Amino acid sequence: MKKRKNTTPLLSALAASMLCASLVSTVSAHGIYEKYNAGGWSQPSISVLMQGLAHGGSPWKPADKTTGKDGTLLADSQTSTGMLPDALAGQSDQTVAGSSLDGQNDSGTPGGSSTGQQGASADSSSTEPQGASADGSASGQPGTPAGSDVLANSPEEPKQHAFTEVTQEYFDDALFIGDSRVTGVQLYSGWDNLTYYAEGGMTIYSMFQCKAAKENGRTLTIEEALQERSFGKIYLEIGINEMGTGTVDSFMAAYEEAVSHLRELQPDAIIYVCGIMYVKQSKSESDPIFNNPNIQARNDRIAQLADGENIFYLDINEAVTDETGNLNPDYTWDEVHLLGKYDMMWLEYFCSHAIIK
Amino acid sequence: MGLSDLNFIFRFLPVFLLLYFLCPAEYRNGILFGASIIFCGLGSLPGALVLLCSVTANYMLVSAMDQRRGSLPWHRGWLLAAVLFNLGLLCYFKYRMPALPPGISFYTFTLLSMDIDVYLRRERGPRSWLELGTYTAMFPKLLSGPITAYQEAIGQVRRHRTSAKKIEYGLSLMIAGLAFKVLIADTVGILWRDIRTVGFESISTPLAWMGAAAYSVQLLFDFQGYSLMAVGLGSILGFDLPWNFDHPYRSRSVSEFYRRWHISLGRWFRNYLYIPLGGSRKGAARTACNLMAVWIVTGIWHGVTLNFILWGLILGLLIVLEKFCLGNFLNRHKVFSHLYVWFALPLTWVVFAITDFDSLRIYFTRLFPFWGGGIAVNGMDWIYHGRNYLGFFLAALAVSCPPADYLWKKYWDTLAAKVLLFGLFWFCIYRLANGLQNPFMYLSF
Repeated sequence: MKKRKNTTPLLSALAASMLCASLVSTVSAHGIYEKYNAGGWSQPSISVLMQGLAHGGSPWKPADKTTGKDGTLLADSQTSTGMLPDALAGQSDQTVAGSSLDGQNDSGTPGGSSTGQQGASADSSSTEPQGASADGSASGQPGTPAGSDVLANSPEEPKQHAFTEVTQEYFDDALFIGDSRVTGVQLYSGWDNLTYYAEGGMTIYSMFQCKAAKENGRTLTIEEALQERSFGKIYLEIGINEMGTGTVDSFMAAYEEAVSHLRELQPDAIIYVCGIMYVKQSKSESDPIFNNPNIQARNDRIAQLADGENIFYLDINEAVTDETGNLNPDYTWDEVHLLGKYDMMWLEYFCSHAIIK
Repeated sequence: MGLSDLNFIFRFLPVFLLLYFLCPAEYRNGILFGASIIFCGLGSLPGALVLLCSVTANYMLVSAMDQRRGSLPWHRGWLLAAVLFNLGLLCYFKYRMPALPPGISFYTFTLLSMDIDVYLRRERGPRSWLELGTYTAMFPKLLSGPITAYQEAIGQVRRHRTSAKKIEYGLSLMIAGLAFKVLIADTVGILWRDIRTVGFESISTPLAWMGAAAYSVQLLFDFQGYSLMAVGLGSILGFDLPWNFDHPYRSRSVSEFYRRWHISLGRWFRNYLYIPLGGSRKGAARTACNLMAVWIVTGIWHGVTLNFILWGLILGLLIVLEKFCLGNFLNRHKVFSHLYVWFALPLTWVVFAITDFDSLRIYFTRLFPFWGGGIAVNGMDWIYHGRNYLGFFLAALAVSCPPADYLWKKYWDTLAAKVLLFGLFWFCIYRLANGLQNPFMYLSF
């Protein structure tokens, strides 16, 4: 082989490829990958191309923008993160921002898209839904069925049920669906008579396609598993990963559709829709996306799905917040997830807020 | 802005390299110094001012010292002033300010090396402020070293030449370093973060050991990755920066480990603290005291919290023990000595990593669960948390083994290796753009 002298093939290849990739990035950042161009000048345009390639297909054959792939973004980008992939792993607003634009027709930034809701909900804070359900008397349901079309199969005169105390056996036929916050409960609550379909990074958009169900040694999607096995109660705790994606309305559209589909698959199950757990005060005050007013804006809407007959709203924040109304700082290290020793609080809360028909 | 930042790789570095190589050689130091100040200022504008002030003050002090070479009291007095200024500045920022200016721990030691070398007449003082600035602040080594010894590095500042081969070699090292950081350190580091999120009380004993291993691997590949990038960048610019790592986990004692780990800091402490204290020439008791002093100062250099002093004390004790009791035994038992290093070092890194004593106590009760202490422990959680990391631990092991050295030395300049490195570079960029962008760990020291 001829000996190369005074040539720099690696340098040349790198320089040429960086130049070409930057050109393609700059063009696509104002075209097909515009939705990833959230960082503006703070990041080189190459990051837009790379995010586009990861989530949106190739520049010459982009993924269908309307397929709503947003849900898989965070999970895909952090497949190796084990329990913490929720974008929230504590940092990286950049990542969240960059990842969160998929599937949105509005062109606002993620933070901007939800600020309207933030303002609207900031005053209502966390007390309204909590107060309504805390006593467990009467219907115990915040939000009457007003406007919740998902309740199409409610009886003409729905019976109202009250929350009661139950023991561990109540959960023998219970299913707990959710993200990394639920995997914490699965691992560290110490109760194994519940069934968990949980995975870090799970979102409402891709929930049914998520391969989080282990049944008889097989790994199934939640859709497949729910077709095979029936449950008496289903707890749905999801929504924090979606915070950086879209608006409250687009989130709720997907959420209502998911609950509706759950009803189709499991018509006899009691469905508990759980409010999204808050984050610690320091996080809430510093993060334009993952903050408690934004969470509350979504929780207010989730609470409206409750019909007092088949669907019930539970708000774990009653149990885990401190006097400031934020996630108790003693309960968390990363400001988002409960420490393992406090994961049991979820189940204790469910025990004291159960419906027996 | 760090060396693994996309802004550095795609904006700062290409523009700088174009300017640097288009300029006549006599202006290159000026460009390098100017770019280094901008590099520092992009991270922290006050930090760049501190750097400029420190370089200027040291230049004035060392010039005064050089002029008074004939008078011992004056000569000594100016050295004392320089040492007090540098240590005072470092201590002020370490103990009084919430955030350290970028690279201050490293460039302060670099400047002290100059003051002492000029005082000892190992080398003449810098010929100009620009020369000193370039020696101190050059951005490849500004943030986390390697800490260059003045007498070895100043000659290179005065005369440095690059070549096609040095550029290719430097780029190859940079890509390897970037891959160490992005593909191994950042990924394995997530396991340590998971453990902190779960809380130390609730982790199983196997997970506690996996955490210690993960932190050890993360720290090694993070800092080694940075150091490779620094040496590689130096090579591109025509400098031969010293190696900071020499496969530390192949060591057979803790003493040997620290001759192979952060070599430039170890050499600094040996040359400018241990030997001036008397080294090993003044009897066993004095040697032991000198070693303990060096290691306590090393602990303090790394951080202001008490765990760093405890970390330094433990290492000092182990090294003294090895020098006077264990050394021969370790020499005779090859397998045992390796196991000893692989067992002891991760435990010392746990002390290094956990700054709060109560948390540290809990972590050790999980590592050695004889006294109970766990709350809501799931004995099988290590399978869940660890399932994604086996491949990365194996990759870390593979690139640390002797065959990897052999392959690198023999094949780095072949076309196949260049194609591989090219692919590796773009894969790292892909991961950087899509994942969490963690800063280098040693930036905080």
